[in-house]
Amino acid sequence: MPAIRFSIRFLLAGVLLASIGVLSAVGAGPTFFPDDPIWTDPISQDVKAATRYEPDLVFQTVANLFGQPGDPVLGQRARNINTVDEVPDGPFYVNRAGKLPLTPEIVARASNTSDGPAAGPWTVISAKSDGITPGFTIRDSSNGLWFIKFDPPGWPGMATGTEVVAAKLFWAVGYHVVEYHIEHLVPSNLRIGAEAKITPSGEAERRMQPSDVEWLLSKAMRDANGSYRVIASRAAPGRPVGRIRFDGTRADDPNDIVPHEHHRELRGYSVFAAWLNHVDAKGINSLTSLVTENGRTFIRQYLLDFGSALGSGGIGPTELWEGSEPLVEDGKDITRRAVAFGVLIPEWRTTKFYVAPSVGRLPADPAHWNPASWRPHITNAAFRHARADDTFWAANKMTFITDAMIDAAIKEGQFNDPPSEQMLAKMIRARRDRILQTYLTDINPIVEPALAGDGRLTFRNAAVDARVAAAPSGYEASWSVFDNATGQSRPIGTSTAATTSIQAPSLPAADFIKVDLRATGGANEAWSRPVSVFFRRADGWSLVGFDRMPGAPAAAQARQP
Amino acid sequence: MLTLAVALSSSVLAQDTREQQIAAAQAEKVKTLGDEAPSGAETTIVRVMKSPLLAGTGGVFPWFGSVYEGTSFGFGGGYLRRMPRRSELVAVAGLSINGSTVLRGEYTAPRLARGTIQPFASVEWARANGVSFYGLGNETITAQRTDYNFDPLTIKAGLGFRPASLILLTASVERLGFRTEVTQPALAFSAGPLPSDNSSLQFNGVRVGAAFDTRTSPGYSTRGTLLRATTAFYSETSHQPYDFQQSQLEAVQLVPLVREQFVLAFHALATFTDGSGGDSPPLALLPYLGGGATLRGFGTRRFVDRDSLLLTGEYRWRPSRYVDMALFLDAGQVATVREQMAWDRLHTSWGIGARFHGPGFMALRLEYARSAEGARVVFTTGGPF
Repeated sequence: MPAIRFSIRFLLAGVLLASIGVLSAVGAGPTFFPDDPIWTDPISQDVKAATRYEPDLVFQTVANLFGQPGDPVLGQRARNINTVDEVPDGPFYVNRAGKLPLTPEIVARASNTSDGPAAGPWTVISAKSDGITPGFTIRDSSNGLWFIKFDPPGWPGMATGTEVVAAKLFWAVGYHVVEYHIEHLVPSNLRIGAEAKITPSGEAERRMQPSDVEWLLSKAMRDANGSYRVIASRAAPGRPVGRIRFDGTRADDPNDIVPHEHHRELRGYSVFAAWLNHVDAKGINSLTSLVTENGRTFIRQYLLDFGSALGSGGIGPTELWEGSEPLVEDGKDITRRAVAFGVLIPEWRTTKFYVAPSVGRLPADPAHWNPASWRPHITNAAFRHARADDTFWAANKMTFITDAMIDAAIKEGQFNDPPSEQMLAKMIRARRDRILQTYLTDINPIVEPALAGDGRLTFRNAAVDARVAAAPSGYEASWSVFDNATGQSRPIGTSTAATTSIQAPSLPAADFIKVDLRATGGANEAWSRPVSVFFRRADGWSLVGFDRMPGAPAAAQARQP
Repeated sequence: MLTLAVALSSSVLAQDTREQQIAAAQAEKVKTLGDEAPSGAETTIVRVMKSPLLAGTGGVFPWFGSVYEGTSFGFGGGYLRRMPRRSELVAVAGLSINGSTVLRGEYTAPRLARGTIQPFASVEWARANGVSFYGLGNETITAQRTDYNFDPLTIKAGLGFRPASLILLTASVERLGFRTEVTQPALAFSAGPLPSDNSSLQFNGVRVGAAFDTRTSPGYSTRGTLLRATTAFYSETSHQPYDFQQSQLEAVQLVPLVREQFVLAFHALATFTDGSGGDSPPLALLPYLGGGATLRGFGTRRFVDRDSLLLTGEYRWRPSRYVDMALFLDAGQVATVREQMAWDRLHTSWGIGARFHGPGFMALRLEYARSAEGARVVFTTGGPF
C-alpha cells in the first residue's frame, strides 16, 4: 500500500536528516569537497533492469487532488542542487539559459537535429483511437519513428503551433525535449503497416483498415487543399520505461537517489509551466527513456505534449478557467461560493480574452497576470515543495530568455496569423515579466558573486538588472573565516557599499571565506535577509558555496502551488 | 551546504570528492533496487476505472436510480455491450428500498443514413409498490391517499431521425400492459376504472414527437433552448372503453449570465389527455404533479387529472464547475378540462438545492422544498428538467 511505502520512505528520510545533523556536530566530513561545485550529476551505475511502468492518469489525479504524495515536510531546500545553489546537468535538465550563449536561432532550432520525417510515404504503425483528436505513430521512408498529431477542426494551427512554441521555450530553459516539426500530411501519402492494429470503441483489437484512417482523419482539421497540418515529434532516443514521477525515486534506477519532490528543476517547472500556461504539466505528459551513451545505460527524462498550453486546450481553445483553477476547485472556495448565492464570482469569469482560430484563447491583458495564482489541472509533490529560492532560480533562468527568442519560437509555430502571433508574443513576454516581478523581488536577489584577489566583492542584483525593482540604497557584507572541516565560521568584519561592489576588510590567510550579503533599503523586506556566499582560495578566490535562504525555518518558506 | 541526498554508510562518508560521495550513494542503492510498478492503491483504482460504468466499455456495471418515481432509491446491476457503429445493448435489473423492481432491456441499433437515423427498441417490466393516489383533481386532500401496486410491461420500438443537428423527430410503436392492485383502502375514487379495480389492460400505442434542442446536452446544460411536442394514441386491445390520446408540450430556456456564473432556468410543461369517443383514460396513465421533478414541495403524484400544467423558474449559481446551487419556484395545477385552468388555481412550492454534475450529465440532485403541505427532501439522480 502506498501509505506504508510513504511511511517507510519518510522514516528513512528522517533517519538520514537526523544523522546528517549528528554528523555535522561531530565534524564527520567537510562542507565542501575539492570538486565542488559539480556541474554534472554523476551517473556511476548502469540501469540494468528498468521495467516499463505507465502511471495511471486517474490515480495520479486523485492522489494529487485529494492527497499529498511525497515528503510531507514542506519548506525543505532542494537536494539535487550543487553547492552554489544551481542544478547540475542531469537526467531531467541541462543548463542552457544563462549558461550557454543562446541566440534566437538556437532557440528556434532547439532540439531538432533533422528537417523532419524523411520524404516519401509514411507507414502507419498504430493509431490513437480513444482520444477526441486523432494521432498516428508512423515510420518514415528512412525508418524513423514519429508521432503525428493534428489540429482540432475549426482551430487550424492552434494545437500544433502551440506545441512547437512551448517545446522550443522549455528546451531553452533547460529541459529535455524531443524533436518537433510542423508538417503537412497528404492522405495518399499514408500507408497502413502490415502489423498496424486499432481498437475501435466497443470493438476488439483488429487490423487497421483504410476506413479507420478515414474515420480518424475526419476528426482532424482539414486544409482547403485536402491535406492536414500535423505536428511530427520524433521518438525519443532509447527505450520508453515510463513517465516522470514527481515524488520519490525510481525503484529500478540506482542513479536516482534524490526524491523528485526535492529536485529544484521539477519544483521550478511550476514556474515555467505557469509562464506558458502549460496546465497539463503532469507525469503522463512526459517520457522516461532508457538510453545508452558512451557505454553507460541510464535514464533520461523528457517533457512531452504541450498541446494544452498558451491559448490551446488541445481539442479546442483553452477553457476560461484553465490556469486559474485546478481541475477540481478547493473545497473551501466551493463552500464560500455556495453560501454566497453566486455573488463571489471567480476572476476568470470576468477576464477579457482574445480568441482566434490560430492561437486559441489568450488573455487580452496579460500585464496584470499573477503568476502566484496560476494553477495547473493537477499539482504534484514537486510543485508543492517549491519555495522562494526555487521560484527565484526559475525566474532568474527566464531573465535570459529575450523577446527575440520568444519571437523566434513563435515563428517556428507557423501560425500564419500575424495579429494573433503578436498577441501570443505579448502574452509570453508579459507573463515572463510578471514572473520576474514576482519571484525575483520576493527574496534576496543577489547573484553571481565574485571575490577578486584584492578583496573586492562584486555581484549582480537580478531584480534590478531585470528592471523589475529599484536599486536598494546599499549593500552590507559580513565577513567570516569559514572552517570547512567543522562548518564553523569566525567573524572578521563588516563592510558596506552603495553599489554592487564592496571592498572586504583585510582578509586573513584562510582557505575559505564566508560572506553574508544583504541589501539595505531594498524593494522588499526580504532583501535584508542575507545570502551566504562561500569562497575558496585557489589561484585567487573561487565561488564554492551559495545559499539564498540560510537558516530558513523548515516550513516557513514553503509555498502551496 | 551541499544538499545532495546521500545514503549514509561508512563508504559514503569516506569519500574524498563529491562525485565519489554521490557514486557511493548510488552504489548503495544498487543493493535495494526493485521494480518500478503501481502501488496497490493505483492497481485498485485502475480496476475500478476500467469497470463498464466508468469506462463506458462493455460488461457488467452497478446501477443506481429510480425503479419508478415515488418508490424510493433503487439499486441493482446492469450489463452493457457496445457494438459497431454506436449500437449497444443495455440490460438493467433494479430493486428499490420499498421492494419495487424493474427489469429493462434496451437495444440501440446502428445508425443509418449517415448517422441521421437511429433505430431503437426496448422492453421494460416494473413492479412498483405503494404508488400513491390522492384522487382526481386539483383540490384533493392528503387524507384521501390510497396506495396501489402497478406492474407495467412496455415493449417499444422506434426511430429517431435527426435532419439537422438541433432537430430530432421521433416515432415509435409500443405495447403496454399493466395491472393495478390497491393496497391501502380507497376513500374517494370518483372517476376512472383504475386503480380502484384490479383488472388488467393492454394497449397498443403510437407516439410521434418533434424537438428543437440547442442545449449542450440533454443531461446537463447551462445554456440553450428546448422546444418539444409529442403526442401519443393508445388503443385498448380488448376494446374496453379506455382508448385515449395524450399530448405534451414542453419548453426549457436556460439563460447564462456572467459566463455561466449564473443561469436563469425556465421550464413549462403542459400535458393534455383526451378519451377517445367518450372513453376514460386509465388513472395510472394520467399526468400528475408532485415529486422530485414537478411540484417538489408536494408528495409524489400529489395531483392527478387529465390535464396538467407545470411552470418552474430557477436561479442557479455555480460555486464549482461540478456543483450548481439553485433557488427554485414551482407552480402547477391539474384539471379535468383545459378550461378549468386558471392562475389562481396554481399550487406552488419553493426550495433550494445542490446539484452535482459532469459536463453533460447530472449525477446527483439534493433539494429541500417547501409547500403549503410541508417540507420535503429530494434526493435523486436526474435533473429537474
